[in-house]
Amino acid sequence: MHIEGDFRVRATASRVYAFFLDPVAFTDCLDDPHEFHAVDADHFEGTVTTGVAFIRGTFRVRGSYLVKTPTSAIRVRLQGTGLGSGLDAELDLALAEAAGETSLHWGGEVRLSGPIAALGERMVRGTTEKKVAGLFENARRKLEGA
Amino acid sequence: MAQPETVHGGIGQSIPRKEDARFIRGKGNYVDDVDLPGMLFLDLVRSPYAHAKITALRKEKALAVPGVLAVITGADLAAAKLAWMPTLMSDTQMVLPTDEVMFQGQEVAGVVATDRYAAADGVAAVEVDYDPLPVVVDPFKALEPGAPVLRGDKGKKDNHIWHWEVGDKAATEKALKESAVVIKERLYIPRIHVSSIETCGCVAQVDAMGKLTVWMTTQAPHAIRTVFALVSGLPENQIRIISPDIGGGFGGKVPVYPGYVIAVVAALTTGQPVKWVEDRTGNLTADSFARDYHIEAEMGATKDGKLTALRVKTLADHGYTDAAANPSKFPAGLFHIITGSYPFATAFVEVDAAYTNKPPGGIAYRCSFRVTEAAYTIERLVENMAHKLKIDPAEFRLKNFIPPEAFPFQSALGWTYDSGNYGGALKKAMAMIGYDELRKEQAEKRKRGELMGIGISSFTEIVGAGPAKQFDILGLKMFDSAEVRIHPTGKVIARLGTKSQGQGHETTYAQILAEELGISSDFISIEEGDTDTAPYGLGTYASRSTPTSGAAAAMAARKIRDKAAKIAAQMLEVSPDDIEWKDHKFQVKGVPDKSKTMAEVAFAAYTTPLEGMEAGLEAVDYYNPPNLTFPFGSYICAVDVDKETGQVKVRRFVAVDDCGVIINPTIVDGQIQGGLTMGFAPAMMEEIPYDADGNNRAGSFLEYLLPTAVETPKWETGKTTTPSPHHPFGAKGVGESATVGAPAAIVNAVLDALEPYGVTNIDIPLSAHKVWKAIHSKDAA
Repeated sequence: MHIEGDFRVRATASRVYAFFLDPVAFTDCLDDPHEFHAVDADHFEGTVTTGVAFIRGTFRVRGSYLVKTPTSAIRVRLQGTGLGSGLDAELDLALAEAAGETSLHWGGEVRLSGPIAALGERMVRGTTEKKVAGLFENARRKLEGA
Repeated sequence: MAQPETVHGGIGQSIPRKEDARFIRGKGNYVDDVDLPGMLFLDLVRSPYAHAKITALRKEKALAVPGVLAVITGADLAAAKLAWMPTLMSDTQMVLPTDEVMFQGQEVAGVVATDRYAAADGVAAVEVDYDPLPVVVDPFKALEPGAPVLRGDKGKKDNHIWHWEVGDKAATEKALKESAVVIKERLYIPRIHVSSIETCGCVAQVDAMGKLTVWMTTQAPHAIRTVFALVSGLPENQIRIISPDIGGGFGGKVPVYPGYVIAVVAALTTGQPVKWVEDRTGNLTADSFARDYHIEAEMGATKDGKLTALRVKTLADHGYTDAAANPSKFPAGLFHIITGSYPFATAFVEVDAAYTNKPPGGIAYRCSFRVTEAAYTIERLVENMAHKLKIDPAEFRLKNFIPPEAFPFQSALGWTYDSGNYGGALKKAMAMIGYDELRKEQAEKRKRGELMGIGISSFTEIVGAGPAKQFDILGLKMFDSAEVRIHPTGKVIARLGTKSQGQGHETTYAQILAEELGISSDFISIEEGDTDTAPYGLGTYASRSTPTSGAAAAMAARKIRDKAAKIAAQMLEVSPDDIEWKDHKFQVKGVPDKSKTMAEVAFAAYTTPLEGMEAGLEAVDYYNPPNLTFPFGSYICAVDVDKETGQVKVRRFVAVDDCGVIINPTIVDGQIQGGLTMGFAPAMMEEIPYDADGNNRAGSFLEYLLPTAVETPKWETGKTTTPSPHHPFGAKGVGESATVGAPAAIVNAVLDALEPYGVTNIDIPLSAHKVWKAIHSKDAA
């Protein structure tokens, strides 16, 4: 499942870049209950309790930064299991600064497996897009509010 | 002339099923009803990935869950050399993986806890890290060079499992070349699941003497005991398998599933009884599947409509291991019954099997080893050939059937059919449905642009496996057995090597014995499924119980009669040569009022045994059938198709079956009605599809569509009777006929409705969307 989107934030690219390289900071933008910590500079892990509609459970997620190009690009891989299902996603974040703002294009492939994947793409896609968009919206608020 | 006396509950009587007295009161005893003191519960961690490396498995958090006592992993089993086990087709399958998972839903670890909830919480707390690997879903792609090799553990260099062929390749090639008309069709029969009401499960217990008892949902308890003994190294006398009441098997409860083995290991390691009962999603995603055959078939005929030759090439998707329950010599089962009801001069069939990242496939879902695939193929092609030649499909079949006088008939692919009257069955079905009137109605509707279709399926089944010289599973010959004892008061207990899963054995076997012994079936108790008490047998599947154990019951009864005749002669003070078994009692020849009943003889056998003769009255028979039996039938289906929506409505369905001598007409009718519904289901609704990542898209009954009473058509049934000449009382078996014969009739009817559009095939299940697409793609063309 391919997902992508854009957002703009009134903050410098270096600040936005640093924010997304701090796994605790950016996972804190998840609306669902969560707990993450950094394992080392390139890896983090934790749990998030999420789901579709009333089908909810706790996913254990491992994250790896695959690409870190200062102030312009980040690629992060997320792998997780929960609810008897699997999540494997690779997200690219492309940053560009102009006139005191940073535009960020995000996109990538999300592969779901297990019973969650059988729910039907329309249902899962809608939920996934909503949650990811919520994460970036919360990130924008944090970056602009600080 | 005096009418022969009948015995209550003898052969041919529609007595109520004896077992229903407990079932309808909710008094059945299923595995999940077994409740032992101190019993623990097993739940399973399953893989979310279709193919992945396990990079880490941590059980600490699960062990911290209150109530969780143990977490069993592949590494634990490997230490005991139990991580792998043999399949019934001599392949190997994982009990639990040590480093790689091969299909979504595969068992990854077992959690043992004091209650089911704690076990489920423990499952959620087991941490498994996976590294996804490339997934092979399509069996054709699996065989392409460069495809990921799934079974490197076996030293394989590709995903090809086996090639099997039968028939005369050159003669078939020549005959097809010389045929005036040749048709070719590609058919896909998708994966489906037996979906029995009761899922699989077991309770394993080790007693103080070290004896292992397993109550389990198995259709073949004796064979399972032997497999357990061979795999575990436990002495076979220290293993007792009990199959209690079973809520449907349909072939799905023949294989050995990892949950059974893990439960046994858990019982051995904890010293407490352990229960495992899988949930519906586990059942639908991990237990063995049926079908999944990709078939390419060619058929030749003369210009005037005589069939000449048949050639079939098939690719079988077996998932990650070949766990089919076929007889050893026949890796594609009895697929070579594919010449069906027709006397082809020559035929050739080849099947290749491939590994994919799916659960094990290849079990016989109510179809006696791939017979549904065969019957579907031949009946679809015969119908297409009739259309191609513009001959009425009924007339075409009547012209081509093996004639009754040709039996016993040797088929082009090597089977010797025992008996048949195919024309008789089809003519009866035509009369019941009003075939000529339906054709007239169809012609009128076509003029008005309405879509109505009539489809026929005149199938030949092959059941009763089987003769020991040809049939074995893991080397165990496929005989079956009965042990019959008459008590002093003339009441009977009989134990048999098969195991009912709802078929009504307690009634059917009692009726056979009632007929043979002259004792009311009310006084005959039937026991099956306990390996400590029943004689060894290969179990119930493939419609084999009546042809094998039913025959064994009759033969054991006749052995008893032979002994009893001598006792009766003594009682009647005549020579044994002057005694005859007539009207269900021993009579002095020519003096019918000088007679003794079996009950009278039984009392004497225990109270005044003859000198030189053992006391008692009992016998055992291990019946090795001289041949298989070949039930048959003709089904006619009439459908209406909505041109605008593609919706199919089965308006009429007439099923005429011939299963030889019928023991209990009500039970047979029930078997046929249930079987027809299970034939309607894959034709119209059932399928287990997988996406490109190997995700099972039908892991619950929300997506795996079973027909309810609302969707199920009204079945109209009829019968003809053509006894099997080699069976002791002429029976053939019927459990699977309707499932085998129904799909082709339904699909043929839909395609007949769509004939104006030139559509020759739509792969099952015939969803409204597929039918609509077929209509409208031809419209556009």
